Amino acid sequence: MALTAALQDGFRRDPLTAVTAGFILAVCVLALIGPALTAYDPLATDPANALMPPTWLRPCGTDQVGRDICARIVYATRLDLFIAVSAVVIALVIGSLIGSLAGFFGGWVDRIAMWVTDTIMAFPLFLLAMGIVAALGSSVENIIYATAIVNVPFYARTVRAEINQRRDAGFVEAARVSGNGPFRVLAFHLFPTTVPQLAVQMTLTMGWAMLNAAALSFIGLGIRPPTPEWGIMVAEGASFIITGEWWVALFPGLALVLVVLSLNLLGDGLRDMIDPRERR
Amino acid sequence: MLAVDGLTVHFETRRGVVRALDRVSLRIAPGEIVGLVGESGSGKSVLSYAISGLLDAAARIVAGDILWYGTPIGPGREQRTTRAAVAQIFQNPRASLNPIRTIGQQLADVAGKRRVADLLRSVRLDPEKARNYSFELSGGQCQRVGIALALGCEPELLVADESTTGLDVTTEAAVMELIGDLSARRGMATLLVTHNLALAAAHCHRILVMHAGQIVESAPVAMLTTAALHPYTAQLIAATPQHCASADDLQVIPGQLPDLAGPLTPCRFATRCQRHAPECDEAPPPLVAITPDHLVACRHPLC
Amino acid sequence: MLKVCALSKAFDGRGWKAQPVIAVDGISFDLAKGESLGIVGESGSGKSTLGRMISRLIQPTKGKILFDGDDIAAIPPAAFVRRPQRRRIQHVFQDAAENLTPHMTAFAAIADPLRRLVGLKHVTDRVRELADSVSLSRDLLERYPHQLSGGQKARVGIARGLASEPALLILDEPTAALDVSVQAAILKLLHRLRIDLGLSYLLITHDIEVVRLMCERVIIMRNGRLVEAGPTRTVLAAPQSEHGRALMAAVPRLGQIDLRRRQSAAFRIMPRPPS
Repeated sequence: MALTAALQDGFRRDPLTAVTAGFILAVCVLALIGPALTAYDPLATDPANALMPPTWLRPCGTDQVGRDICARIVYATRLDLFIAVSAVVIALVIGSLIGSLAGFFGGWVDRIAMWVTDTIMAFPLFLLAMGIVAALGSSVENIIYATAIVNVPFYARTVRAEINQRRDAGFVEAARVSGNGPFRVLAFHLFPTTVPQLAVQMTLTMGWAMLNAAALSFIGLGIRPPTPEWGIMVAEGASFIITGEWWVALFPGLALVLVVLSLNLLGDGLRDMIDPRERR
Repeated sequence: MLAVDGLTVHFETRRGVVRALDRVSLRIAPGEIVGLVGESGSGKSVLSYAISGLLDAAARIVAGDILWYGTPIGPGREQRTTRAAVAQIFQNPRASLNPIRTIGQQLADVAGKRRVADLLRSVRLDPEKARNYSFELSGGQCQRVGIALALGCEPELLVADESTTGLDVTTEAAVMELIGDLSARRGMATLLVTHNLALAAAHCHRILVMHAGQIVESAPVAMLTTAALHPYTAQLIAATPQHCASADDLQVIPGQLPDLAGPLTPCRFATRCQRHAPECDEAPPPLVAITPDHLVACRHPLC
Repeated sequence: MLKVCALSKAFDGRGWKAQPVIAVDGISFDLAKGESLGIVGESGSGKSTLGRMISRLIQPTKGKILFDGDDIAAIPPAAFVRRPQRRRIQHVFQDAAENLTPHMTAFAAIADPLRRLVGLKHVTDRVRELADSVSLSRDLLERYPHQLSGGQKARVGIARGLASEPALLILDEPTAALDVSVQAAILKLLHRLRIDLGLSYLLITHDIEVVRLMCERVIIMRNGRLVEAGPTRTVLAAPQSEHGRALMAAVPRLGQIDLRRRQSAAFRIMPRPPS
């Protein structure tokens, strides 16, 4: 298909993006099958072996109640990825809907849509997420909803801008002459042209969504212990850094950094690949 | 004045090596208006850029040279060693002007403030327009400013690369008339690069026809339009609406332009030519003078 | 078949100038079945706007468009999509513009009106038939627009326009961006199709020579107004209007090397029309 060929060509010219894409793919695979491969139970406590430094058997050491950190990181991958992906998908669907209608019809539809998104964007986004979770209660669903709401404006604006730009293009008129009503033109002819930009936006947002979830858990508003999640693990391990048990906080932190960094680099790389193609 | 001798230019691209120009040779005398006619992909823009010294860094001169009064000058920006008085005007006049500076400021950059009014008058624009921006002027007026900018360099050769494409017919006529007039008064030579054979025929002394990077014919206008010798030129004329009485008379040139990155026959028109013979594939046809003015690169010209 | 009466279109002014821009001002003409009418004008003459009004993409401000007796100007563009007249009037756009949806293959582009206007479920055979009728080779059907040449894209646009078997085809600068040899092929194709299928053409162009070959009658527009109308041969040989004469004089002719006559004609042209 044209898309895979284009991607292959792009990856060949930009190895860094190819590497990050491979890494993200590996992380996804880990999220899916990782838990089946870990040697230790992430929730099993073993006070006798508490705070053991990294060894060959336990590459990341154990935490303050003897749980294997490596196993917890692997299990947390699933949760963190789930939160990020769900939040992004929800934000994408709602934001695209709002943005498409606003960009295509203009007028009062546009004005109301922009009023809503401007209101959301007026708040510092993390504080808004915090507020939503605090109001609704700490649970995985609420973190997802809070993150999704906070990200809707970015998608709405991206889609609105793209559609507005192409609204009077020749192919739109041709689609109308071919018998497509306004909604069909929007859905089948205009909206797919925004997909490349959306793909870039998605990868970038996913990194932020993950950080958001981790940060909320770090301050105690998100996931509750003993569920393994990178943010909580960093929070719990923070107090042990001073006493010299650096591995409790470092490894989950490293996992978070690597994944978010890869997502950001992938987003940048995709944008570079896609933009020149757009300007044909 | 200007001589191009066997110029062969290749471009390195992702698809491979594009052999854009193949042994191109031409001469322009002072004061002459020469038309360079070809379809898209014929290499006429590459040639005009080479002459103006604007070729991309990706271009590689494989053979040949460009000579200005006998001195070789490089075709690329970096390679230009001698100052040749060549100026160029471009296709989209509005796009070649800076939108955030006035016309007067841009002219002053090239020619100095004192000459701005004179330059505008010489292209038949009101000197008051120096205070306008490019978006306040029409396409034809922008192109006149482009000409004024080119004239500001006091060129001996003006290269006009598709400079009237996209302009209305009446505007085009006015711009071409201006170029002709300036050319006559200043003794300035002009290279008119266009895909419109009729336009070249109406305004040039001599026409060069290009196909797929090769010059296939060079002749004075009258001879070209009445007695073209190269099969491609003849077919080009037969495909022009002006030449036909009805749509049924239009001739379609068979085949397509060859891919310049792929394998090429020595005569690049061979695959589309109805007069093709085995000897056409042996070696590239040399540019031969049938009469002193009329040169053809063909082993079986129409006689 | 088509009768246009006093059609006008005024656009709201933008920016500083609040006055409306009158793009088309009281144009009237008619078109018989099987006839080809050329609409000639320079940029800013309103010819494209006129074409768009007739294919019901834009709503006229004033006037009537009688198509087989019905005034279709009264139907707003949004509602026109569902009317039976939609499939009888089709529009082929300027090929230089991106008139093919970038993510749809040539096949999908041609199949679109078949599904929407004709209501066909199994479109493959008909799409192939249409591709053959415009001399587009079948293996090009799977390509995307950016993989097609200018001439091939033009053919896809024409095939798409023919899909619903229209009676009237509005052609807006169909060969403007094409090379001479490709233009010749497309013009021949359009000419043959009109004869074979009994179509009527409204050919909008700035190129007078194209009109001479393709159209029986011609109207000349300037600044939104109709300045001259008549049979092509008559108008081109002896234009009555000043603008018509200026246009004829300005066209470069292949065999004509008389510069002086053209020079003087070009300078009798009035100042640039307001944009």
